[in-house]
Amino acid sequence: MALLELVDVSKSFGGVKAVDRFSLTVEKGELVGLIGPNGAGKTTVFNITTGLYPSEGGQILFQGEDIAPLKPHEIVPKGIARTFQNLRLFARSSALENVMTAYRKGVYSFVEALCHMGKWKKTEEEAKARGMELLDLVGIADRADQAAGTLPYGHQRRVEIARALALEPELLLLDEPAAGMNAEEVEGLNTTIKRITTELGITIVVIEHHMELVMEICPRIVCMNFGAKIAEGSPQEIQNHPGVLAAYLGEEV
Amino acid sequence: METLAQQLINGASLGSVYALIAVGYSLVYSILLFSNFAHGGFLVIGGYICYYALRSLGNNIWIAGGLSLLGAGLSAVLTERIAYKPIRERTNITLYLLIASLGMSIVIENIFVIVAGGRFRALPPVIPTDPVHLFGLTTTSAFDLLSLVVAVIFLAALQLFIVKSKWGLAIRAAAFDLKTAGLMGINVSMLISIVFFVAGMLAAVGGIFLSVRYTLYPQLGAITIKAFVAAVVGGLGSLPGAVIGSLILGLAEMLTAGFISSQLRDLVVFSLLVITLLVKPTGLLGKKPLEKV
Amino acid sequence: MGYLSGIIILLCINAIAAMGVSLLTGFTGVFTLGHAAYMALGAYAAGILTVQHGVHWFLAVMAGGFLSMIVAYLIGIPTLKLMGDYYAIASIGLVESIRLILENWQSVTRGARGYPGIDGFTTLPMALAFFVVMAVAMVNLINSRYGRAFKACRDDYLAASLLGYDTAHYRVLSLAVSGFYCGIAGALLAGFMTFIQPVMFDMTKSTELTSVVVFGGLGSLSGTLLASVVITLVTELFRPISQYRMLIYGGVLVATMVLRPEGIMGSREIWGLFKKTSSLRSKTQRGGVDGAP
Repeated sequence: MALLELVDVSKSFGGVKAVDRFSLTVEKGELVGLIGPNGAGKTTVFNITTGLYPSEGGQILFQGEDIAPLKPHEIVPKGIARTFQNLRLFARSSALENVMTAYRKGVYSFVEALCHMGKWKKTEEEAKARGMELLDLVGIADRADQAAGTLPYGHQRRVEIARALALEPELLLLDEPAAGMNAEEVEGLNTTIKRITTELGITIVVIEHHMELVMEICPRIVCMNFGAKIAEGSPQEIQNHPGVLAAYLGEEV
Repeated sequence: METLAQQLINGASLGSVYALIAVGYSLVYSILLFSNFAHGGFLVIGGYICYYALRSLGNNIWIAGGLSLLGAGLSAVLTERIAYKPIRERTNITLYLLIASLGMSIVIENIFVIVAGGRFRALPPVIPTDPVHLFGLTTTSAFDLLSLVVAVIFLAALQLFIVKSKWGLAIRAAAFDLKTAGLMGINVSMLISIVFFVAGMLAAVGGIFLSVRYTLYPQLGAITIKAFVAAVVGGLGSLPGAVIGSLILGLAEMLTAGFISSQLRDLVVFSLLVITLLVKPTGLLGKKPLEKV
Repeated sequence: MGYLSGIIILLCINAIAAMGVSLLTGFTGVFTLGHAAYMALGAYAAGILTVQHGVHWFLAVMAGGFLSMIVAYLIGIPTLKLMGDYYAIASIGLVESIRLILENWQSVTRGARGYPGIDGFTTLPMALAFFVVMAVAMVNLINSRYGRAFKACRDDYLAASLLGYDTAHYRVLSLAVSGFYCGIAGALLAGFMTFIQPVMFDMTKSTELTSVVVFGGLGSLSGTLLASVVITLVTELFRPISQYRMLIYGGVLVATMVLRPEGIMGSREIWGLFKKTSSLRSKTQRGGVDGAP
């Protein structure tokens, strides 16, 4: 059973078909790249998968379960986490608090919260420890107490990844995680993403425009244009695919 | 039967006045995406300018009305410049605009409390209020008919402005996406001022009629809450929706007052709000805006 | 009862109500204009229960709190699942509706003339005790997963829902708790003034509560408490010019939003300024993650 199965999902905005009968199967443990020119519909695919937009037709199966009718906050606990193209951190909270907000294990009751008794202390300590662990994984443990909105852009992206990881997902959807990063930072991100797949066993689908990232670390790549899938295969196959080249460079190639 | 017809006309008349206020409020909402709680203040400013103009410049409703509309429009622009523009330029947190608008509404109301005193004032009777017999079916007052007609004229003029004029086109573009409209070369600052001027003007017309109906006092602006409810019922950001919502509200109020109890009028208004939010939260004609993720 | 004890009791009561509004507006980002309504419910519940039914004051105060909480919860369900200004508009409607009910349900509430003869059960130790307990509870709540959930709903409700939070549920929860706090404050006020009137819980009071929270800093509990003390004392000291009170509140709101929207404390807490920022040694060398310092 595949981890994620999108079958013929579609979404139109007004008269524009943002996603046009798109299908994708992701097996557990995979690291899949999703590429395509701007406006190809990549982020919309993520939005449909996480329940932000309803899909018009088609099926969305996660671990065999139909998640299409569910709302985002119902889908996330099933094991899907995502980051955003335009960062959505809680700017006024610290980096650590951002990550702790995602930590949903060891739930204590309202009364325990009011009195700071019962499971409160232990859970808070666990949350904090896990938060620090994840911030360390992405390399910004020293900035844990800094307000997220004041961090440099590249660091903010890393906080978002750490926060998504705190959900302990089976599937992680990364939306342009390398945006705004320089070559050195992209190298570091590559390493982090590989670690997430190999050490944490999390399946990843990553939307990216930085080809050095996608081609280097993704064994399988899917290319979209005008809302539809136009190519799928290994990095070599994709790099030589005429449709992909035409989409990015225009027809004269 | 005669009472029913009377209350229907009453309701339509009241509703049309609400419509003037609700449309102005919805216009601002559709562009800036926040509820301008100071809208009631423009209404009051319009009412008082009209009152003082009538008292001191002779009982000419045209001059007084003109001054009132101008004054209210300018006050609206001024409010925007002083309180909203500085906030808008620094942050996109609408909560701050909301709070500032609450502050402005209090400031305006209380300036009048201090300067004009809290007394109820009756406008000099320039607007006829004599009874009029309609087709032998029912009796209503000339005032109700007049306010209905004037409201319709202003709303039609607004519609023409929005559909046919260049700035009207700009407003429609901005209502869709303010930033993009700016990038397309529209002078956003000027646009917002125009929108506020129009909203203030419409509020003033409403204010004049409401002052005749209920007498003039500083807290008259509080009646705009009903216009807000009307805008929500009709669909926030939709101008036709604001008109429809206002008519529904006016009719509901008058029918309740006429056949059930005058005390329950306001409760009916509030109930309509709750029902709308429960059944169709975006209102009759409102659309849910999809946020870009 | 000395003048000083009276002031301190009033400080405690206003602080409790302000904390409630702070939770909703400052920490959860829901703008409210109607929290005086919850105080009214608490006050009248406590008053009526102690005077007409001989209920013990503690139970009556608790009942006041719970009544407000339940009403808040019921109002919240349809209005808070929508983003935007719907709750703010509904909250104004609520204040007006509650006031209307209190004024007209004469048999129970004795109408606009007020409800006299309440036992003065709010003593200084009792007010202080309530304040301390409720303040500690509030601080604890904010420093828990609930606090993080509320702040997430405030700062980015979309991101919050994609972390698995049902934002509507948390907003309603925040409203219910804030209703409880204002209900208790109202009940204690009834026991302090021994006489309550609907007009004590009008938009002036609601605005005062919101002003306190805004002025103190949205997202700072200590800011709220500080501002509450300042405004309560200023109100008492400037009783002679109370007609200017509202004008000043309005002005404060506008000025704060334009000049320093974060208020006195911003999102910081006074006790945070004394806490040493934890020094976390850089662990970037471990695990071979990128070389950026």
